[in-house]
Amino acid sequence: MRWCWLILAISTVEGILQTGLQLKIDEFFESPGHTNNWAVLVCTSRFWFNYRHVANVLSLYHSIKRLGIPDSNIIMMLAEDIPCNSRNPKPGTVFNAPGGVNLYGSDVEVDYRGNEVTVENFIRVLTGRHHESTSRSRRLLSDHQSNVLVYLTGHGGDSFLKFQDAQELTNVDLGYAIQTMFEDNRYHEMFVIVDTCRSESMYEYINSPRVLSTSSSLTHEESYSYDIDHEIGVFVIDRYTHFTLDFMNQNVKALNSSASLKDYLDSCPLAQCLSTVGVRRDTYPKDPAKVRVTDFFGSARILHYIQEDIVFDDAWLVEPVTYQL
Amino acid sequence: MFWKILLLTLFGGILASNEESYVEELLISRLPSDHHLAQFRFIITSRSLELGPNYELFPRVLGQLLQAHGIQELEYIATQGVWHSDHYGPPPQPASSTGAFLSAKFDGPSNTVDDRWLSVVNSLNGAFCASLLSMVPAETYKQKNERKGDYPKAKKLFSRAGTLPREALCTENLTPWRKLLPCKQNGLISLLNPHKLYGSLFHSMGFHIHPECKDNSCWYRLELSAIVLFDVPISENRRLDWSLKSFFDRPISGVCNAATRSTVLVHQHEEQADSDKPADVITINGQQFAVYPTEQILGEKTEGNIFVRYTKSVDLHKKNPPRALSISSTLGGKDTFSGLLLTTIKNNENEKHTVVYEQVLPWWVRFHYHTKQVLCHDSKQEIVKPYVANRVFSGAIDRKRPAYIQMEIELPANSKCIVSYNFERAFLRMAEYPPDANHGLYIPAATITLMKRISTGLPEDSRCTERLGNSSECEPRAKQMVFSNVLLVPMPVPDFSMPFNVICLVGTAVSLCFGAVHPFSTRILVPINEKLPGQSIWRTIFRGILLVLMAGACYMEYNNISLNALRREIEKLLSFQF
Repeated sequence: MRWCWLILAISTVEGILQTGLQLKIDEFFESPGHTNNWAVLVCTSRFWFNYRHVANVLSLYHSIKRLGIPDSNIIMMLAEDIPCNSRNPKPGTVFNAPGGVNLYGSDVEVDYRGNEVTVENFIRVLTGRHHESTSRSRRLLSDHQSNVLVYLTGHGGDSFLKFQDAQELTNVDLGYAIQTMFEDNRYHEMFVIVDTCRSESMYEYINSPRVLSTSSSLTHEESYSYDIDHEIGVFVIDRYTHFTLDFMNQNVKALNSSASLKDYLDSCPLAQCLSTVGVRRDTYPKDPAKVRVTDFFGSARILHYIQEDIVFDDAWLVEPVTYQL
Repeated sequence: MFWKILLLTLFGGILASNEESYVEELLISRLPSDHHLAQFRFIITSRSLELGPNYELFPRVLGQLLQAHGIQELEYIATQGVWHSDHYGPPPQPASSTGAFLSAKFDGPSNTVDDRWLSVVNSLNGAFCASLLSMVPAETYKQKNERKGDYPKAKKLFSRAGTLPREALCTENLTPWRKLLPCKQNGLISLLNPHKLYGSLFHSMGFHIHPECKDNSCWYRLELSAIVLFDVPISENRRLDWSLKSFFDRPISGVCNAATRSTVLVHQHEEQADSDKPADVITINGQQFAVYPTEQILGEKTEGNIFVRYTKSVDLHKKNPPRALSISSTLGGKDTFSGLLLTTIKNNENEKHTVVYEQVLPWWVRFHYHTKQVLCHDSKQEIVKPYVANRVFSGAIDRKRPAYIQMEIELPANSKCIVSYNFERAFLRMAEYPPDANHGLYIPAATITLMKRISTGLPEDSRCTERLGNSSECEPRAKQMVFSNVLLVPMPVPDFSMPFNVICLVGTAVSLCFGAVHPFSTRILVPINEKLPGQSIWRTIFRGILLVLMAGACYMEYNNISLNALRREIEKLLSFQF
C-alpha cells in the first residue's frame, strides 16, 4: 500500500514538472503568425530508375498529412507513374524501405502527374496564374497568413534542377517565382527544401523576405541515395529525406511536439548524409531554434480574433465565368 | 433488426418522394479462354433533367459540371492493358482502348462549344487526378458515330471527343471515382482493391451519363463501371476454382443502405461443380446466372465471400477456337520518316458482317489519304474488294486537330480484311517533343462498331439484369465496339544528348580555327597596303582581350571551375569593392 502512495506521489510531481517544462518551452518558441499551412511537393524526375524520388515525395506527403495538412492544401507533382509502372513487381505500391509500409494507399491525391509536371506548371502553381477552369485541387490558394512548404526533389546541377529529363528550372526562375509570390502576398513564411545534387545553388537567388531555405548538399557536393530494395531492384529513398523523415517520425509525433526547425536542420549530419546540409538564414528573420517544426510541417489551424471592422470590396460579388447556354 | 427496418423505411420514404435510385451489381463470368472477368456496375439515376441544388445520390461534382457547361451526355473511360479480341472475344461494354477516352455532347450555342470543352477537360482533369490537358486542342475530334442516350427533344448537339493512348490509370484515379458513389466503403465497392486491379491483365474504369426517357418524363442515368480481367486462376489441383477473396484479396464488407439492389451475379459455367447456394438462378438470353444478394453473402455462412468449384482441371494446352471477330494494328515501313499503318480485321463467322471502322490519327502522322486501301482475303485466300460505304473524312490541322476517318465496311464471311495507309512523320518543334522523346509517340487505336451484335452470352447492359427473373430476352442498347491496340510510333528525334551537343560545339570551334589558320599557313601573303591592319591599336587590344579570355578558359578548365562558380567569384569581387 505504501508503495502505491509513493508511486502516486512521484507521478504527480513528475506531471507538475512536465507541465512546467511544457510552459517553459512554449515561452521559448516565437509565436507563429500564420493561420493555415500549404505544401507544394514536387518530384521532377521521370523513368523507373528514379523510383526513390517519388518515394521521397510520398514519404514527406504522409508525414505532413499525419500532422494535419489536408489533401486540399497539398499540391503534389509526380513526374512518373511509378506505382502502376509496368516494371513495378508490386503493382499499385511504392515503398521507401525494404519491407516497409506501402506509401501508395487509396488516400493519395496526385495533382499533377506525368507530362503535366513541367517548369511552366510549377511556376504557375507558385504564382497562381492558371486557366480559369483549373480546379481548386490544382491551385495553391495561399494568402498572407499561410506558411508554405516547398519541397523539390530530382536531379540537379549547379544552379538548375532538371524537370523530366527535358527542361530545367534555374535558381533565377525559382527566385523570381518566390519574389512574385511575396509581392502578391501569397505567403506569410516559406520553407524551401531542395533534395538534389548541388542543391545549395538552388536558393542562391531567393532573396524574398521570410523565406528559410535548406538543401541536401552544398554547391560542390553530390547528394546520395540510401536504401536499395533488391526485390524491386532500385534505390528506394535518398539519404537526406530518409534521415529527416526518421527525425520527423521519432521526434515530431504530434502537432504539440516541441521539436524546433533547428533540430530538423541538424537531423542529417555529414556522417549520415555524406553531404553537407546547406541552410540559408539571412532572409529569415526568426531563429530556427525558436520555430516549431510543425509551423511548416503541420496544420494547427491557429485562429486570430479580429477587433476592427472589415469592409469587403465589390470584388467578392463578381460572378464566376459562366457560359451562355 | 429494428434499425434495419427503420433505415429501410427511411430510405424507402426518400426514394418514393424523389425517385433518385442507386443500384449496384457485380457480374463474374468465365471466358472461353478460361480467364475470369469481373464487371462492376453502379447505376445512379437522377430525379429529372434539372439537377441540384440538392444532391442526394447523384454526385454533385458531375451534376454541377453538366449544368455549368450545358452537357447532355458525358463519358470518360480509362483503361490499362490490352483487350485481345482474338483471344477473349468482344470486349465488355462500355469499353475503350488502352489509355483514356473522353467524350461530351453539348447543347446550346455553337460558338462556345470549344471553350466549354476545354473547361470540361480542365475540370475533369482536376477532379480525377488525371493528366488529360494535352487532349485540347490537338487530340480533340468531332465524333460522327453517334453512341447511346435518348433525348427529350430533337436538340442539335455538338460532339467533342478525345483519346489519349498514353494516359496512365492508377490508384489516384480510383479514389476520386469511388467518391462519386453514395457508398464509399460498404457494399460491392469494398471489393475494389487497387493492388489486385493494377496487377490484372486488363482493367478499365469510367462513367457514362446520358438522359433517359420514359412516358414523357426524363432523367439522367449515370453508370459507373469497372472491369477487371483476371489471369487464369490456377489452384494446386490445376482447377480454376475461385472465390471473391482469391480475386480481390478481401471479402465484401458491409451493406450499402442507399442501394435499392446490390447483387453479385455469377455466370453458370457448364463445368461448374459446386458453389455457395444462390438465392435465385435467372436466365438471360439463354444463359444462366446465379444471383447472390449482398446481404446473403454477408451472412454467417459465407462471411462476405462466395466460391465456385469446377469439375475438370484446366487443360493448359487447349487450343481455343478463333473468336468471331478481331482487330489488330501494326506499323510497317523501314525508315524513321515514312511509314505504313496496317489494321487487320478478321471475321471468322460464316456470315457477312457490316462494321463501322473509325480511326483517329494525330496531326504529326501525315497520312496520304489516296493510299488508303481496303482489301480482303476470303476463305479461299483470294483477294476481294469489300463493299465500302458512308465514308467520312476530316483532315488534320497542324497542332489544332487530328485527322478522323470513318467508313462502313462489309466484311465477307470467313475473311481477313486489311485497311492500310502510308504516312509521313512530321518533324516536331523542339518544345513539342514529349520529355522522353526517344520513347516515341502513340497513335490511338482503330475502332470497329458492329452493326449486328455478336453474342458474348453475357448481359452487356445493366438494363438486362434490372428486371431480375423475367428478362429472358434482352437486347442491349449500347453498340458493340471492338478496339485494336494502340501503336507506338518512333519519331525522328533530334539528338538531345550531351555528347551530341559537345560534338557540335567542338566542331564549330575547330571549323572556325581551321577556317582562319589553314589559309594563313598555306597561302602566300603579299601586303598590298602600306599600313597593315594588324598594326591598328584596336586590333591589338582586341587580340589582347581574346588572349586573356583564352588563358582564363584554359585556367578554368585546368582547375575544374564551372561558369557559375566564376560568376560567383566575380560577384564576390564586386560586392567586396562596394
